[in-house]
Amino acid sequence: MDPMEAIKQTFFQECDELLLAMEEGLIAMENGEADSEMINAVFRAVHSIKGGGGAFGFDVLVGFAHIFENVMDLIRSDKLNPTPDVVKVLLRAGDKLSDHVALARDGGIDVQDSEVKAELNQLAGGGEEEDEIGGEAAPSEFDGLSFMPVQIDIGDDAPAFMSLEPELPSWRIRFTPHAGLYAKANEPYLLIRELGMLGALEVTADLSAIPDLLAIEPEQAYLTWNAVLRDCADRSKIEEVFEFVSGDCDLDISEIVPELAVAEPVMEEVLDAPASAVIVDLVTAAEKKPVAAAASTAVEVVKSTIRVDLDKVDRLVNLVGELVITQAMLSQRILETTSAQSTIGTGLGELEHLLRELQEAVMAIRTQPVKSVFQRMPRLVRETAAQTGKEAHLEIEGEATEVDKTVIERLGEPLTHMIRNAIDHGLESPEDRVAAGKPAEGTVKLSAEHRGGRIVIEVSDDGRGINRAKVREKAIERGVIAANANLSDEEIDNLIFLPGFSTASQVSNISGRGVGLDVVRRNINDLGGRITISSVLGKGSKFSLTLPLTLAVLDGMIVAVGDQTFVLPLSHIVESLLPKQSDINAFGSTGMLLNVRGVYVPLISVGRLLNVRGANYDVTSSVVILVESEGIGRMALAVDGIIGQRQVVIKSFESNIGHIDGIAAATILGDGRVALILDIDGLVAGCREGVARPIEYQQAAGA
Amino acid sequence: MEEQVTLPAVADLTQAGPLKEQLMQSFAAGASVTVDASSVQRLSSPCLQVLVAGKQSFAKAGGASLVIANPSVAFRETVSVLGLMDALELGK
Amino acid sequence: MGKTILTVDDSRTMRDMLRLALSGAGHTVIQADDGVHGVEVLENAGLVDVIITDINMPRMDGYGFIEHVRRGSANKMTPILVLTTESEPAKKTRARDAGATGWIVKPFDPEKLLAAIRRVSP
Repeated sequence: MDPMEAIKQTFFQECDELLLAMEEGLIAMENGEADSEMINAVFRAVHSIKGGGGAFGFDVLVGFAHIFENVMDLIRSDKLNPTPDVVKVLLRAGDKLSDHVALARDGGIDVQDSEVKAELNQLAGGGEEEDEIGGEAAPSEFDGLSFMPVQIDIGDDAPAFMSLEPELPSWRIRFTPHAGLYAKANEPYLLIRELGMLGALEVTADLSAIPDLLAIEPEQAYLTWNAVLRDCADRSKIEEVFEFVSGDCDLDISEIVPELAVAEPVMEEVLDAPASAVIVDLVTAAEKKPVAAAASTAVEVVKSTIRVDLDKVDRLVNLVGELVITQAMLSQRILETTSAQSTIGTGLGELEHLLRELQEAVMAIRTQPVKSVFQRMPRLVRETAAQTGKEAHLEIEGEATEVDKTVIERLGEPLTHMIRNAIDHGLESPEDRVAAGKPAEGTVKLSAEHRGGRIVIEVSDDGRGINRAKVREKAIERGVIAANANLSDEEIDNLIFLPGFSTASQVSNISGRGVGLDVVRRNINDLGGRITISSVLGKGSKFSLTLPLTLAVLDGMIVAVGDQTFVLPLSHIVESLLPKQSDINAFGSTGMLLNVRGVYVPLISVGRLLNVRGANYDVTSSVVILVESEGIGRMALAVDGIIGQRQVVIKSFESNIGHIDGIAAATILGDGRVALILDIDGLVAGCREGVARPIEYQQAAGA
Repeated sequence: MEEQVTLPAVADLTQAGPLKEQLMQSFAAGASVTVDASSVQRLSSPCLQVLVAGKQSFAKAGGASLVIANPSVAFRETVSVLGLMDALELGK
Repeated sequence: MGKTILTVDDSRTMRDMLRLALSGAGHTVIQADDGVHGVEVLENAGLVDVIITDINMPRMDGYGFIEHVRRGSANKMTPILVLTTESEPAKKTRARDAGATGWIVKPFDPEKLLAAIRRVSP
């Protein structure tokens, strides 16, 4: 069950108990037997009902309880004498409160409470407070939790480098804690850290008041901090940071006025208005809410959202997937039995189009901005830089780019690793950077964008780039490549993705051995993505990840092998071709190589590899599909024929029959048959391990 | 002479007094002191004030010194945010 | 990193909501029904990272509870947030005087709750 729904039920159960306690207390008051604890209990019962009601948006209930609570507050603080007449009103109010709770739980007709409300208002102090407490007071005044999902405003809490808007004002902040601030367990570190989230922050500590060790009183306050905060639109945000400590420190916030206004007399006319506006702002700075701040908060646009149980969404995704399959099956049957010119065909086309749109819309429900992952990275950069003695700052782009929730959840680990890698291995030490004519502080850039139905995430640094000679040397030393191997730059770069490969001369605990880039690549491959690297020596490296937007559908090529149909993910396919006999060369006892325009790639018969019944083992009369796997390289797969290209709905069978190497998942085709989706990386890796050792995939073929 | 003081994991306000006493002992004995900050998870400004005061007093007296050793990530982070890296001679 | 957080509130609804919001954010939640219970729970729990307490509670109210914690225990300097409402500025002042670190104005959403925690605990 939805946790909120469960809590709502708890709330109503609790209301029953509270109403009972309230009635007990009120009856005791009527009999003149109530002590102060009983009166308090009545107050708390009403207060708790109001609090819970506010959280669930029962505004009418809350409005009534609020007035009731005010009266009870007066009684318990001895400002109102609970005479028999007063208690009579309270008893009636108790009944109405029960009615309100019942209405909120069961629905039904509105509670007729205006008379009792008027009586309560009168008890609470006549008409003077009516505006504040009467009727539909704003829910924000009330007690309780509001669980509306919050639209995260990218502009406000993003670190400064994400949005360098030069027009945003800068602020000078002087902050001197008093001893009382420390006594209440407040900590300047946390407050200044918060400030750093509002914009670009420079902090200097003023140590002049710190006495000698001998004289210092440990619980006194001696430090003052001076800060300059740039690119923060809103003064009230700064004040909010210091909200908890406002009485326990000296705090001075002033806007830094750009000197431009004085320096450019030619522009006087233009600048006249803004300059005076600044002055007005400074004058009102002492007041609680400057005009500018009030205006800018009002502009915030709140998107309305609802919170939906993920299971419900997944069920919807699943159903739409089934619908697409059923539609495909239906279309195929109809087109087989009717003539191609039939008007039914047009209708079917439209249906297919609509279904595709429906499917996209449903998938979009599951998407979220990558911000939730990206926003963890600035801290990671700071920590890693500190640990490795590097200086680094992070630039982020495209954090609003949306991708499937599952992809987001599984993106954190590889991204963390790549960013650590960029700082630890990519960036040089500040001294080396300065020596190389670069700024001491390195830049790591993290970006996301949609490109061709996929999301592309790039992590780049302006560090030393890949030292190919060193990588090559290392690979030879480890026996990964032969000493005389002739590799392209790209192939050398990709060597760093091999298991256990690390060229850092010292193994560090940041991104050294243990988890290497091979794990990153596997994570990305598991998500149906690819990772590539490009690098320029001395200038930096760039990792590019391309990932599918969703894990529920896949663009695939449908191929026939014997009496089976398989799906090859389109993302891995380079081209398909009909090989000539002369292009095929035997290699070892069972291996074959295919000459593709002068480059030899291993050629594998899918039929033989998977031991498919009735498959054509004679590769010379097969269709060959050239596939590429991350880093490991290209491979030619021989199949009996290509049936077509289409989007298929992925049906995982891992929960039913476990993982099978070389098979990613299954799908149901238009004709109702089940087709296995091949895991190209698994196939290629399996073949690479032993070209002469065909078939651990025999089990799969039987499946 | 060389003495060692180890900061606790939670170096809150209550720890500032004991820290001062420990530093005072070394200072009075004219011994250099190494403050091991490797296990600090939470560091309060009152403790930092004592460390800065200690650093300055040792420097002024000459001879012995106060050195912060093995600062934890949390320690560095706090000191860096509060702009006290230089005062505590915690370079990059 | 998850923190250990003690919540003290006599309303079961509120306790469930706090638990939902806090454990959803990866924190470990321990709970008490009122001030007296809070004191007992704290004695067994040892050092916690943050305490969140309501004010109006039977047996021992929020002020009493805060004063008790600040008077001395393993959690003497643990940040304490009180649950309060916008319409009760006097309560904020009294809670501060008792030693509260900050406050959470009800109604709040999980974001607000977590932001307040971030401001008092690393």
